[in-house]
Amino acid sequence: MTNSLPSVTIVRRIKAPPAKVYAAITQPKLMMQWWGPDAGPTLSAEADVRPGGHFSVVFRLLNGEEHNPTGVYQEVVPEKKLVFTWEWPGVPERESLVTFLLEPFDGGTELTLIHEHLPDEEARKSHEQGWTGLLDKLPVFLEVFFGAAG
Amino acid sequence: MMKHLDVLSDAGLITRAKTGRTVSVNLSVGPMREAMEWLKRYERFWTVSIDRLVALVEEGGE
Repeated sequence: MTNSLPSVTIVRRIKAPPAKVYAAITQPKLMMQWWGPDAGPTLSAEADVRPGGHFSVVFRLLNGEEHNPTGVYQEVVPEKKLVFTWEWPGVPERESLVTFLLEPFDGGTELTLIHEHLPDEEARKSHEQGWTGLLDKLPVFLEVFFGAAG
Repeated sequence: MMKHLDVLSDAGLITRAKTGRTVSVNLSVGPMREAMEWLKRYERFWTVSIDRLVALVEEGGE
């Protein structure tokens, strides 16, 4: 089940050192200058960058819509790794997980971004049930599927 | 083959029904479409955001 959930991975080589890239993804003042899916403005950014700390960003799209993704930092390794959950308030959507990886590369930084779609509780449960019971259920399943001949 | 169908079935991408000796397999487009929309949305979000991030950190470098 987990494998069926989509994820987005983006890798970019940047001509700036990891310290500078890390600052841009963790300091609200700098986050406000790039965070958003079009040229619309970022209206606010809060980032309590420590495990368990919250982030909240509000951006306005060119079409006037405002959005406010929020989340909780899971893993914080300065200049190397930043992992946080991601959710949209009021949207009954599965929580997802964002990972930024920074590696020094040729005087600059190789940035890897992974945005994964986490399974919700129901999916987790059915996945767990599906696998834990698999060996017990397999003979029965085969019989039902192929009849006595199977 | 059956294993592959199990994976697709667990993922909610197909449904199976047995009538006598025949098993019919149907494709469920709903979950697939949902996954595609999710992918499109975040690909766009991060591609544009990271382009802007790169411009920010690369401009006026040390």
